[in-house]
Amino acid sequence: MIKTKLPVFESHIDEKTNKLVIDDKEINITIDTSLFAEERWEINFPHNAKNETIFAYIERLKSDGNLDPAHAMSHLKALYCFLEGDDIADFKSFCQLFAITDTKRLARLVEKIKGVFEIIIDSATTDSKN
Amino acid sequence: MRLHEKLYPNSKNGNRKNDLVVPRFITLMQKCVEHKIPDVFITRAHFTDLYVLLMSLDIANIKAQLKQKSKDAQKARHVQVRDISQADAVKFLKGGGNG
Repeated sequence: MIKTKLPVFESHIDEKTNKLVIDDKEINITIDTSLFAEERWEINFPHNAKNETIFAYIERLKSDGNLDPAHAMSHLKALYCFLEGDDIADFKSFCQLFAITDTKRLARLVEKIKGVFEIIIDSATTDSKN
Repeated sequence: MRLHEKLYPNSKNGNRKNDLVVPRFITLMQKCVEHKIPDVFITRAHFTDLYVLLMSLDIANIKAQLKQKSKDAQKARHVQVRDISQADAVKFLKGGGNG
C-alpha cells in the first residue's frame, strides 16, 4: 500500500459577496496495486476489462502517449481502481472531486496521475513483458 | 475465441457466445487457492508479481507432469532412465560402465 495525496476542489457560494468560491485541498489516498485493483476494474468497468487488465490499460495509455488532459476520464477510470480512501464512495462521487472543466487544475491533476501511474507500473519487482 | 469464430464461422464450437465467461479475477483467485498462496501475499503483492508467480508455478507443474509422463512411457517400454553424476557419465563414456 502506497500513501499519497490527490489535489481536489470544493466550491461554494460566498453569502456576503454572492460569488462562487473555489477552495483547493488535498485528500489522503492509498494506492492498492494488488489483485483487488483488477477486481475493482472488472466490477466497475467490465466493458474495458473484457479486453485487457488494468495494468495493461495504464501501460497502453502511457505507451500511446495518451497521458494528457484530453484523456482525463480514461485516467480517472484507471486511477479509481487503484485507490482506497474515506473520501471515495463510488466512481461518480470520485469524479465530482476533481475540477475537470478547469484547465489549470486539470493539468495539475493529470501531472499527479501521470506520476501515480509511473509508480504503479514501476512498483512491481517483475516486468510484465518478461 | 473471437479469432476462432472469425476463422471458422461454421464450426460446431463457433457459437460460444452463451458460454459462461469467468472473470479474470476469479480465475486468478482459483489459481491462488490451487497453489495455496497465503492471503497476506495476495493482498500485499503487486498484481504483476502475483501473476508471474502463478504462471511460473503453473509452468513448473506442467514440466513435472511432462517429466512424469515421459518416465511412465519409458517404463512401459522397459527402458530405465537414471539420473547420474558427471563423474559417472565420464566413466561410462570411457567404457568403464556406470556401476
